[in-house]
Amino acid sequence: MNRGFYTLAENLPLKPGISLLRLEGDSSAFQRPGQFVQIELPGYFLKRPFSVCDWDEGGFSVIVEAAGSGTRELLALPSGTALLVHTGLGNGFTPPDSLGLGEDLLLIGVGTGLSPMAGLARRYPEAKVLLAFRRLEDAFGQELFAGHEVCVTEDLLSPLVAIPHRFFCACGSESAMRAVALHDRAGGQIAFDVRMGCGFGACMGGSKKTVHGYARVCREGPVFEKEELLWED
Amino acid sequence: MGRLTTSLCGITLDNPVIPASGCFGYGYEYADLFDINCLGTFSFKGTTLHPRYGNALPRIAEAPSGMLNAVGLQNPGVDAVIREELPKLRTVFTKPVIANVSGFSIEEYREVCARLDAQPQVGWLEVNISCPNVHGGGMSFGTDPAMAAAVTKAVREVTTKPVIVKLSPNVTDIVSIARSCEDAGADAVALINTLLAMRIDLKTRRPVLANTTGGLSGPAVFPVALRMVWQVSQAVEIPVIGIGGISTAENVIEMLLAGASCVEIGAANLRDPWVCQHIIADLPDVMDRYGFSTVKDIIGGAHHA
Repeated sequence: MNRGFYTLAENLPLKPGISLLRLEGDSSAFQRPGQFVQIELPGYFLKRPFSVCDWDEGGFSVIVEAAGSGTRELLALPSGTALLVHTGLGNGFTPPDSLGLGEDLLLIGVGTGLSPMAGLARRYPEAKVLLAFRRLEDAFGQELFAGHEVCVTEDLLSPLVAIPHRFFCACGSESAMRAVALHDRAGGQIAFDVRMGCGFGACMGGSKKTVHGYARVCREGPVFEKEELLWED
Repeated sequence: MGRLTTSLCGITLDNPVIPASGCFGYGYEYADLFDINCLGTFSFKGTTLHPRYGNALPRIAEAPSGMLNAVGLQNPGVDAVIREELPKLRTVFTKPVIANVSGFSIEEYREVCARLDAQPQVGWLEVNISCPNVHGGGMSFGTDPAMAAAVTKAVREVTTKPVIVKLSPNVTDIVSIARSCEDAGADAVALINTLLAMRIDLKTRRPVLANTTGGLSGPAVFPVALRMVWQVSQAVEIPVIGIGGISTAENVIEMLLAGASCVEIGAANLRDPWVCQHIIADLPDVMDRYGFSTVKDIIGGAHHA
């Protein structure tokens, strides 16, 4: 984990209430899509976790949805605002090397869970993309997947069967990830979007049950192998 | 003896700063970030007889100047702590540690304490009778003076190590609970645990926490904790550990003035994992600013100023 101040450089609205934010600063802690950052919001006690969308040598981007007052205020901050950020948190996606350019890889983003899929898509130019939303009118972010075959749906389950793939990477809410895990026959990796406390493994605020025992979403995760997760009724 | 030195039940602490249970894991996560031997000591994650997953998610919520948690005592169980966590801790922390113990019956408290009593790394047993996030245990022992005394007495019988009883603020009279613990053989009391609280999500119209309620901590509770430390330290002879919302060296001094012998720092670590290191570094300058030469000179100063 690293800590540093980052400059809010750009706020690119993807649809009302959802933006791609670019923050400029040290990006040395980023290794793989699926890792996350914790951004401190002025006036709030807890930092907010965001999956990293992508990064380059000058900074990184995250997708922020106005989910409550904190994220709403974050989206309203002017460019140039300095923000304290913890970076390099969690473990990213590690699809098998045999996937090559990704023609057998399906990237599944549910809601703002599409964020790390954009970074993965850049690394797997042949990967297919499934973007699922509660309702079709909620859809956003297709422009982050230029050059890819993208399926936008409000029916998450049917495309899991219809789109041929050998491996998947998925990110989204717990309920959506449960549905993916139970319906997709391929092997895959799943990243969870949960409320967190510290984000570095001290508070046990976000935990999942796995075949290895209890795992912290922030530390052992947020990316888990489909096979290691245990789902309760 | 440095100017920051204090003592807790006969064991010398290099300084009065102790990360609180539940906010510092078993120490290992923080050892990656700084040398945790700079701490007075720390209190490890609340440990029960059997492994516990804890409550459903969400377990965490924002609050004005603080946070709510309803983790529900997730821990690997005392045997795994002894087998795995303590040996790992030994490689990064050379001081005696505070073993925080929770339970759902007097027998469980007694059994866990007996097993941890045999561990040379453990300097103190901190008996948590104040967890608000579990049912049938935790706080139900800490809200009744007779039950608090019964747990204290049971633990006292199985250990020669100092017994610290961690008290709940969710009571009408914390002084009477503290006195009961002292009479039953406690060597120190630690206060306060979190304040029972809740938040409701405006979108879903449901409680944010899956457990409905959780414990409030952070700067929001500091004045409540300070008041309770002030009251209890006047009423008991044993040392008081001040806990609740401390996040600066100034807060530490204020808590010592109220009568605490040392302090535990909880939620502030989750916001800034380096905060205890910074507070320890800041203490000498802040003591200079207010004219204190040693930490021992500060303790209880507000009672006889």
